[in-house]
Amino acid sequence: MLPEEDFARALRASADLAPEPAVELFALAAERRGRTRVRRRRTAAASAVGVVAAAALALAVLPDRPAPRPAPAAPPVSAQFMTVTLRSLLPADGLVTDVNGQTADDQLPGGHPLAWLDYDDGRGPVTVLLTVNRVAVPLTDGSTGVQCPDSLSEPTTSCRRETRPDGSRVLTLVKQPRWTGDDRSWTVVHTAPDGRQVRVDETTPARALREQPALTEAQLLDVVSSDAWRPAFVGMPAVSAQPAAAPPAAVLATLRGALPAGASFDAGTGVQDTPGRVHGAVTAAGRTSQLVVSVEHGWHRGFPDDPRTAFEQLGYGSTLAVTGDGTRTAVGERTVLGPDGATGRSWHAAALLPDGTLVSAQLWTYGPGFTYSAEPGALTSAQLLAVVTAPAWSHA
Amino acid sequence: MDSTTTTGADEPLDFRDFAAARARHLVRTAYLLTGGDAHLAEDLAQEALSRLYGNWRRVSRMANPAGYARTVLVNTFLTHRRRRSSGEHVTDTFADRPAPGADPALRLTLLHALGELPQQDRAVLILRYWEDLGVEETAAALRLTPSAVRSRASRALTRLRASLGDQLDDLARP
Repeated sequence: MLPEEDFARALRASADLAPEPAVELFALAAERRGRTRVRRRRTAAASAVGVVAAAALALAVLPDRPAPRPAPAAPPVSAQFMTVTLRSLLPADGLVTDVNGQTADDQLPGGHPLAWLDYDDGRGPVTVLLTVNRVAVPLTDGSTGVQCPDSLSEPTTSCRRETRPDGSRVLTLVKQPRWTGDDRSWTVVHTAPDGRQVRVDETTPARALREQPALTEAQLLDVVSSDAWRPAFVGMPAVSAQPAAAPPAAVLATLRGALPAGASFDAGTGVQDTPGRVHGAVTAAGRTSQLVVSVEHGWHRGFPDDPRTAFEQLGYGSTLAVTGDGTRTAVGERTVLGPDGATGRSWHAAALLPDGTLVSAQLWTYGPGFTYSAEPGALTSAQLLAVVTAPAWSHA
Repeated sequence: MDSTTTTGADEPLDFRDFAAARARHLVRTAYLLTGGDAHLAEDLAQEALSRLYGNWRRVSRMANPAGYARTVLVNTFLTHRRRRSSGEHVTDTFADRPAPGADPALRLTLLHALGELPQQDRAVLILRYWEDLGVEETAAALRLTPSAVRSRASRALTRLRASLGDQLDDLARP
């Protein structure tokens, strides 16, 4: 047994490694985030009242009707609905523990209802995480949840896409461990033609030995394609269609023009067909690193009430700034823990251009076994920031 | 460990002053809860404070707003899950565990071992031995029974000892 005093002392020593927030800015950001939460809650309440009033009015003008009763507004789906529904769709012979759910209001702007739990089929537990979302229609290859993840940043993930006869899309992902002790995951995303999307992730704990999922891909598909999730979409606002995503060739051409003088970019020989995204190796100053760049036109439309706060939350932990032309930027560096406590580094930058286009980039250098190197990257943070703020992205 | 922020009923605190005063401690608590994820720790601490903002009139008149903030933080941590989306933007893929650069080996090892514990066990340990709460207070904060707090703490400490061995003695040495 560990002496408790020793453990308390060890905790205090470890807590000294925590980041030191700039407290005044931190408090301001918390207040702004709190304001956004309050505003969203009020907006939701006002919408519910509006639905009741409209329903009552519609009934009132119809002749020979009983006296109208206020129709109940469609309430946001509850956390309990999410957890109960998820449990009901799992095989009954497994052990379910640690059941949790969240409503959209529990999360940051742009969040959606979700539920998660631990499921044990007798061969060890897995975590099952389910989310619901509504995406813009008509569905395209660039729709959220229809794309495969980037194969450079997720090199051990296999991806399969399928369009079913009813027009729904199914995305199946299998992530293998990158190194001994890394986790495995199995993911299925079902997107109905009307934009209802349900995603389930099944993940082993770190260092788990099991190689097969507790829930098969077919079972996961049954879960996400179930009509039992329909109530979760009632009251979930429609998503306005986004502008067509830039073809990878256009992203590549813009990226090459945005790189600093003397830098070169090799997109490799593999097919890159994900709209709005390109990856490859950038070489500059004698170093070569991996680089992924994404561009999303009209990103701000997804956060009509406060795109600025949404961007700042997206880039939280980064250095935030606003340039003279109104472009919002976030730039930062991460230290990444790899196998056996080894650490590596990655750099990221994002820009929200004045026209609402979001451009983001991640840079890192692979070491053996897809671990991250701790060496400096091919581009500095300032150069990465210059890449994402290039005005040409608005026209990519 | 934690100084209590007390206010009289007639002297509501200013939210921003409170948030600034509590920021550092909440981030450190979140840092331990997350097993050393600096980015997530700051995010959780700020999210917890933002949740207080909407009820600040009531919270500011509580006898112990700092204690309430701690409870909100722990609940935020326990209900937190990173959503991984295949359509996610590249900036969402930085969900890696940051670690400081200077002389971190032993302390990182402890944080890593903490991160491998079940979330609720971690919360029990942090409330008991970092926040210095008693068994009853910890049980109330986590909605557990006192016996569950004791058994979880015992089990978690045993796992840490098994995982860390003599390294913990080095770390705990004054």
